[in-house]
Amino acid sequence: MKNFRNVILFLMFGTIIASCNKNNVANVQHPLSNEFLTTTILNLQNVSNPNDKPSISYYLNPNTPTVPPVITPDTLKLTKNATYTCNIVILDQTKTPVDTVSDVIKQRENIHLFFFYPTSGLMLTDSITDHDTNIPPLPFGLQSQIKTEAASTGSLRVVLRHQPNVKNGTYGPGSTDLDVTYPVSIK
Amino acid sequence: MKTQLFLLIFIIILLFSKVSFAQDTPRAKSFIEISGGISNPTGNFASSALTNNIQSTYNSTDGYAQLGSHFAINGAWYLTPNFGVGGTLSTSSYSVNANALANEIINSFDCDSATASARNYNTISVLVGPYYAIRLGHLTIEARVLAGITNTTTPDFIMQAINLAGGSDPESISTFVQKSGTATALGLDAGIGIKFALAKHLGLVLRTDYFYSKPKLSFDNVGRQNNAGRLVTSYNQPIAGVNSTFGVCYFF
Repeated sequence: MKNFRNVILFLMFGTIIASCNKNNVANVQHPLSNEFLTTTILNLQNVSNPNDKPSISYYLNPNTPTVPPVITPDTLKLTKNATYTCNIVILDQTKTPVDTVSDVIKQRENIHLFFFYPTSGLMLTDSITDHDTNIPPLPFGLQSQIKTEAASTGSLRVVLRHQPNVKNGTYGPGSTDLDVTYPVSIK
Repeated sequence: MKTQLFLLIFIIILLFSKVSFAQDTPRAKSFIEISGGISNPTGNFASSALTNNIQSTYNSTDGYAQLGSHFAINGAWYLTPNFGVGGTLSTSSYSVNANALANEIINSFDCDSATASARNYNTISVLVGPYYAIRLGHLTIEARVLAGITNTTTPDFIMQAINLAGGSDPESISTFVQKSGTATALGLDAGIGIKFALAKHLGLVLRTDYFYSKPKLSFDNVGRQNNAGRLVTSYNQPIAGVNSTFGVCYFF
């Protein structure tokens, strides 16, 4: 009887020591994404001329990444000395129906940031007009304003940075979700 | 869960309803007992569902608690053949579902990978209340309803959102912590047990109890740079579950 009691007590206290405060640790990988950013469209509108609504689309088939992207039309044509609003729409055309990925990116605006880089000869500036809900609010970039100056040609590079809990308004932290370049002509 | 609770209450009522028939049964022995076993958390405390809220921060009600251990020193003094008063000094420890927490970080931040680590939830309870027992030879069937105080301590939840290196970007690791919290609140316990007398003063006991406490916990969070994902600053959900224990008791 005494041995039996000792065994019971040994098992109980052993369990106490083993289970009281263990460290629970997990390292989880993102499942393979089934979402592709196949198409990036810039929709512009001249604020002083509602009929001047240029648009350009960049399409890259994720199944044939070595094939050059299809840019339609081949050049974004802007009027000199004008101000445009610019709205970005990003689609996943591998889905049926087509998935508007930019809606999800908008939901995740607090960890995403767009950057616009015109080539040095291209006479335009792009300033972000929308902000996220971080405190203080940081630029987001799905909506922006493009101001053109003298006639020129070049290209406009658009980069989407994904910055999970490291977004601070700068390019550095995080990684790149999207990097597309459009030919631009200002006349 | 509601069904389990209903059954437990039904059994307790059934046992108490036998008062008038049990007067001729032998007197239940007063005892002191040490027991241990498992504690199965229930409700939001045990929940770890992925959220659909990815737009901003959200104060999750999910506790991520998993099956834990429970240890207790119980005792009761029988004033009549069937009725006694007693209490329990107990502690429970619950592991944290770190895997679900890491998945939630990926869901919230859409990052390449995530880590989560946390030690255990711990509770300490001191509860007292009435006991009712029916003695059937070597067997004693016992029910109890206890109330008192329960102290709950939550661990640090240490989380990392990781973006792997790619292109010209180095690996990005953001670490944030939900700091430990502690609070004391009313604790309740209702359960039944079966004791088997091995000798005059020694017996074995099996118990199952439902316990409940609802502490108002609050937490500091450090390392949160962006308003995104699970951000729990307060937690006022039931810390509840079912304990199933086995132990030895000394009769006197």
